[in-house]
Amino acid sequence: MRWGILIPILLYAVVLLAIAWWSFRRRQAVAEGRKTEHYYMGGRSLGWMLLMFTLLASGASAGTFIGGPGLVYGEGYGWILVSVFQVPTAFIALAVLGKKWAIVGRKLGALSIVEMLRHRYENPVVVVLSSLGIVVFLSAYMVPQFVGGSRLLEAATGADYRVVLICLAALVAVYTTFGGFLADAMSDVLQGVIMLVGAVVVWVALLSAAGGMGAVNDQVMSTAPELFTLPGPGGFTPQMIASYSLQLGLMFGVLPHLAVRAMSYRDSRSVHTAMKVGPLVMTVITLGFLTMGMMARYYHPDMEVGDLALPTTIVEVLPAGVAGVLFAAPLAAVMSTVDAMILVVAGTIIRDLYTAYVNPRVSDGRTSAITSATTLGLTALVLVLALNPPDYLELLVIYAIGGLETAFFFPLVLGLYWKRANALGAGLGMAGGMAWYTVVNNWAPELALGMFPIATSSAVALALFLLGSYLGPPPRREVLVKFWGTQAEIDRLGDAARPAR
Amino acid sequence: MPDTEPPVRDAGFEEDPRYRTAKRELAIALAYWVAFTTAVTATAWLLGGHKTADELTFVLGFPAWFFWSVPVTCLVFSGIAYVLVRRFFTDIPLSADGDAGGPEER
Repeated sequence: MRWGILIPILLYAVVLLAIAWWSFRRRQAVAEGRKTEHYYMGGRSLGWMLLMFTLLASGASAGTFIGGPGLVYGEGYGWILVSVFQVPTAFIALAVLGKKWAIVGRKLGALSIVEMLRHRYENPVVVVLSSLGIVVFLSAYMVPQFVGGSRLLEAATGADYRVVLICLAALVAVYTTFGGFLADAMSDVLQGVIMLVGAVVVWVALLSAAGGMGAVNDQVMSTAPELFTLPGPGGFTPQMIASYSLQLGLMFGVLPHLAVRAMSYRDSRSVHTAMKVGPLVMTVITLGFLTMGMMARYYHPDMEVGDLALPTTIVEVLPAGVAGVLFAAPLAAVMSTVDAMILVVAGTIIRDLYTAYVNPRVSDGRTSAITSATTLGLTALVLVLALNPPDYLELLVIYAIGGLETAFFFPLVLGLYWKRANALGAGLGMAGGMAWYTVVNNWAPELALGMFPIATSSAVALALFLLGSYLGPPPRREVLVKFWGTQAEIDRLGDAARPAR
Repeated sequence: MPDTEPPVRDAGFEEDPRYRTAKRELAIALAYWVAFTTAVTATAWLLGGHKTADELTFVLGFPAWFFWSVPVTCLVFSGIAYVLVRRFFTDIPLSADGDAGGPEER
């Protein structure tokens, strides 16, 4: 056990719990009837710092810190090249869903993607499909996060993987159950700052210890020169590179846990500032951590598991206290992603499925109890799955992301900006896109046409969406009023404004 | 600068003029995404595609293709994002009725 590294991490956990406690107390003080909104969305009050960091931290996950550097270590610079497509993601997400997303969300009091879809398409098939998609894919996504965080801690502290995993899961469960959205966003700022400073500090430390990038290059040149080349071991042809951008840049923002954040900011000034600063911050974080994957080759040219290259190197090169603080950053990234997702999945199960279809008249107190139980159950499920970790994290992460993006991008974006979009289009596009995506990933890789699977899956989803929208009846007038009309027009609808089942 | 154009009437109801602003910003973001993707992919491939490790030149300790397509392009596009938001994105109230937090006007 390396206590020097463990102590800063434990301190960090204490700070997180304190934030959760504070957030819990604050929620107690929120007026009755607004508690749920506060728990899932923090009362739509995020300023630019909270908005930017919560987007970056919830987006930057185990992939950026562990899987990413591991892939760079194993397959070279091509992986950094495709990862930079996440640099403008916050900007693009906030502009594509846009202020319309935030305004309509406020008008309808919607707290999740599924709720928006229910208002827009008024179709149980669409609602159930999207809810199941969220539950299945996000749960899958959480597994590699937990695995990554635990592996990292195992490498850093020498503690047993299983013990670490269980502690991590327990911390996340407690923290999410009590803290809710606001605690999550608050801790994201702390984490974002640590990530940013950490990226720079580790970079400088590793580089000066190695004696500059030249020394790193000579080492790589003599052991694995193919890491410098394109397409290289990762097979990055131009169409492959560009199709990554679809997944990491354009469509990333419709992921349920990020789309919720794109609704929750205070005003348009906050969103503008977050958009201006976001790309630059993400550039530093992405480049900083990923180039370290290459530097790790200088210290350990022949590791079996690439994921461990960076943590092992950090432990060796940096003094223990500094290393501990730095390990808090990726750990934090993992935790912030996971707890954002748990909130979304729990919300989906409880608010979009249970109260919408099973028991509409459930009381506020009951809801809160069910929420806690669901959160714990989810964490336990993910924990069990994480006990047998897969080999390369990033691919699993990407698998889950692509499926959700394929399902949600067109129903959300076209639903917001295209009046003709209707339930038949949304249902067909979702089902067809997800089916295609699954088939391409599991059984017929040639259907991807030499690109990342999301490219052809999106094309299929879009084609089916358009087809269904033109075949099916246009949306009810009430729906159009809700998504295009002024508030006065919506008020005039009265009871008709409620979504039809 | 809020939109001051008159509201549209087409489907027999009054449309919220703020959504036109949102639509314009969507178009800007899509164009930005296309430009960024093209810039990164093209620079990387034109400078580094199908070259063996021995043929590569290095800039500041990175392969040249990587240096120009990744750090440089990212910094340039971070700047572009800043300018776009500053010049072309409109400040609008987000509240349901479009007031800047004042009392509701009916």
